[in-house]
Amino acid sequence: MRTIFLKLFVLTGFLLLGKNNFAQGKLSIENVRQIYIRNSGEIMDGEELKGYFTFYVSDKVDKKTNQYTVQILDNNLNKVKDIVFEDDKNVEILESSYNGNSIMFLFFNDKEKTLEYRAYGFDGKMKSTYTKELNKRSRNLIEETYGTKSEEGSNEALFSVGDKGFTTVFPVKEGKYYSYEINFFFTDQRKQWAYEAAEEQEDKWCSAVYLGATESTVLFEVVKQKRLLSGQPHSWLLGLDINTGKKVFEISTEAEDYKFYPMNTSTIAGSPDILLLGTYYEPDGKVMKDASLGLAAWTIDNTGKIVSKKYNSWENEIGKYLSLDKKGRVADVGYIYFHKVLQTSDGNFFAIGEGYKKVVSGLGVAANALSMLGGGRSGISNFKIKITDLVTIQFNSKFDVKGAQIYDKNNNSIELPAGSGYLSPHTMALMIKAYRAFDYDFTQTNKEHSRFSVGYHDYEKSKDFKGQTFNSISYDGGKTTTDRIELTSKAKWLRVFPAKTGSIMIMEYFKKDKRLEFRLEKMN
Amino acid sequence: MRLLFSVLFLAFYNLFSAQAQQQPVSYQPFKDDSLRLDSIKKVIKINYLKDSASITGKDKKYIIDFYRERLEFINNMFVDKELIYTEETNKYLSGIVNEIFKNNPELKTLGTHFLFSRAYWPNAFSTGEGTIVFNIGLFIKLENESQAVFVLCHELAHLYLKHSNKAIDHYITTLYSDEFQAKLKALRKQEYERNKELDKLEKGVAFSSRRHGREHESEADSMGLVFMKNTGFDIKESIGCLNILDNIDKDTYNAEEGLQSLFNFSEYPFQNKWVKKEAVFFGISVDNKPTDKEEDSLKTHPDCKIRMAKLSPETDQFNSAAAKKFIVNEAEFKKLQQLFAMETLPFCYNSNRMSRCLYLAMELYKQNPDNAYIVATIGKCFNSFYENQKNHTLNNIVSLPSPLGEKNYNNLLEFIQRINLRDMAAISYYFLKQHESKFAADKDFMAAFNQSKINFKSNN
Repeated sequence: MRTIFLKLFVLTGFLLLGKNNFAQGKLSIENVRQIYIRNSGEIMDGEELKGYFTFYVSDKVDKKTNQYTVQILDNNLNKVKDIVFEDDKNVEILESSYNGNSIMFLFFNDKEKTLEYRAYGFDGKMKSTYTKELNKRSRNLIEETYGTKSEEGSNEALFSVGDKGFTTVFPVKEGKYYSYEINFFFTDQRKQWAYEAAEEQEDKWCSAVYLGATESTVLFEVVKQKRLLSGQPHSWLLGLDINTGKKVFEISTEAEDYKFYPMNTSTIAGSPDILLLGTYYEPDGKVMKDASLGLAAWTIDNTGKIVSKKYNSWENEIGKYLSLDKKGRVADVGYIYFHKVLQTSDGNFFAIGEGYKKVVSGLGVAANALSMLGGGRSGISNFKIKITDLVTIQFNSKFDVKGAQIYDKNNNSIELPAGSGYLSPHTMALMIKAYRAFDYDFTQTNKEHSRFSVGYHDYEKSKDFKGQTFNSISYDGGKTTTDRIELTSKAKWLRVFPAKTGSIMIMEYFKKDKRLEFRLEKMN
Repeated sequence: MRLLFSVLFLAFYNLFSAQAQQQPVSYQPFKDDSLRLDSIKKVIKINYLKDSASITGKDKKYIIDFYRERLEFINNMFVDKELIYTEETNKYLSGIVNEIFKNNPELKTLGTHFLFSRAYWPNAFSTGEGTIVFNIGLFIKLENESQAVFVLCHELAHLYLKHSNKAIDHYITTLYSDEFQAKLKALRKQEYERNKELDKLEKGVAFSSRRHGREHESEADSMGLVFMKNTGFDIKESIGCLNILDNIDKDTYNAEEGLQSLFNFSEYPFQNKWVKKEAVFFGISVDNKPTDKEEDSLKTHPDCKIRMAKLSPETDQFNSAAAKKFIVNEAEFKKLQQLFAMETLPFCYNSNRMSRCLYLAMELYKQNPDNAYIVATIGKCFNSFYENQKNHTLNNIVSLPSPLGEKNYNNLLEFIQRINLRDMAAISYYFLKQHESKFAADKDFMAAFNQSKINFKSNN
């Protein structure tokens, strides 16, 4: 979602012109001024959206240099600061993060092949900067990563860690190895550390995802594969000392009763331990091929020792609330892909998933039948993937299942290329993600996790309305409510973006007036 | 365009303190004499045509464009039903104006129209073609007729000295001059540092224009005082008036306290999360607003303290023991203040300024909890929140919180953003229910209460 947000501006090279207050034939300051928006995005503090930034070229200084302005808006769309600086004409902002003390931007210079992290104070002055030069392969990897992974409203590479600083994780390619690098920048001192996984890497392919942090440790889920296309990924949990970047632990999450793939982490009130949530598989199961067995919760201490484990299987615990078969398929819904698992401040856990299943494709069958008459193949599979309903599963503080709910939406589907009729459930899910075909948009929560809202889009065709809708499932004070907005507008185009918890931001572009409008809407 | 006008400007204010001790008057929303308003509108149009026809010179077309914009601005006030014309308000305003004109006959030829505006913000302005508008939001803040006379004399001085038209001329001769246009043409071809040069040009124009504006304000103060001293009103009240303006932006109604006391019901207790303070973003909050060194150069008006210091020698010199604070009608002045305070409610409600309407109604309720109209208005605001929230149009009728806004009003805006649909229905229902026995005979109240019942039932 966020990437669409960025690229719209990059592609259009959107030119802002002020209202022409002058009579026809006369020039005005505003119609001589030229400002090009380069990109735009959300400012996140952990999972919480704090505001938005707009990065634009405010002037051309010389052949190689532009003057840039980063305009910062708060989450009520009030302008709070303009940060002005000069830089190479090829830079753009990839992400932004805020931690209560300062704001950090991740800049990418396409021509110079550099990543640069810059932290700014409230006065708009730069507090620290760090530049990472990328080789060509790493650059390609970064472009691929940022181009395809942006499903959530949350960041992918730059994260605030309380008021301590910011951590970043990005992929690198060193020789034959696909690896990753982690950096940590302290906000109150000009200090940083870097962790380069390639230095001790044995597997050919490794990637890391930031999970969270405690007072002493920064946590990442690391997925390793012996070979790039082995189809046998293994999950590890990496804990780095927050002050030094030294490895505290790296434990396999597959060495216990089941293979465990953590998706989210949460601190536990009054305890230094960390809670990990995710899906689990048979000990000898193949994650890329087999369906998951259910949802698991692990608690680990700050040395990486597992303190407790809890497993809820589709078949038994969850099956009491949802009609599932042994493969974890829910009747009419199919397999469930989990987008988000989170704990609320009242102790409950919620898993938010979306159904998908393989069905016969009328188009594929017809196209193949026609092609066969001509002695060939159509290139389309006889099967397609149907994306079905939203599913939420609620657990209590001990991770016992409390309930489950299916939220109906209209099915949509994606055709598959020929020969892909026998995909595993996991691969199907990855394919849907790659095609951006899930209807789920984002989950928003506040810092205290006292409430959250899940947003997804749908396309309705009814007597009363035909068109796109934005839908929400909100949890607040123990109550769950749903809401729906019909996305009708006179604008050339309209997009929905995450906003402060409980609201969405709607952006509309009016082509005739060259006008871009932002508005907040509160969901029910 | 508005900046070209004379503006006794300020956005925020503390309402109604002066009326706290008054006996409450019976209130019904004003019914305007639409025929009279239409005839004034027609005269303004005729004046516009006359003024436009009298313009000569190479910039004629551009000056007429400005006059047309000015006419549209005035017309919009009529269309939006912002202007008040009732027998009572006109009689009182004419009474004051006649006192001024009687002693300053040269003003009679200016072709003026004096009108009260329903606008709740404290302001008064002369549009430059003869219309002088006095916002009720300013009138209710004043202490006596002499202060109102100073406001009117100040605006008459702008008109007499042709400040608005001079400002238009200054703007056009600066920006449409051959020299300025040549600079813009050259910059349009300049590839590098174009915007930097434009910024310099823009600042130069803005500083010059605002400086002229501030000079006009000082001139209007002095000339206004000359008109005022010819009347029997107390010219020392010009200082009193400026002193009120100097403090007018200090909002003293504690909205958070009001919310907690008004909307806490045994069946539906007030929730602290509705008013919980959030961490400030980027170091900016209502208590810590950024300051800009350029702000002083861009102000449209001189500081009130400077204005008071400039006027003081003259007020001391021309002060007369026989001067009176009230000449026309003290009782009517005070009665109108109370009615105007109430009139801000239907104005805000009907113009979809629902968050402001609630804020003003809560403040009035504190002074007068036994007024059915105020109670009904509070309920109607929540009913409107409910209806709009249901249709996802809430933010069309309420303002969004801003760290640059008024602190107390901002607290109310945060509250509105945090309550959900069910809260909106419940707050309206329980608030009105506790007044049911008292106001069961009031039509407005019962209409609001019945709607709140429907909303509440559909959420429970």
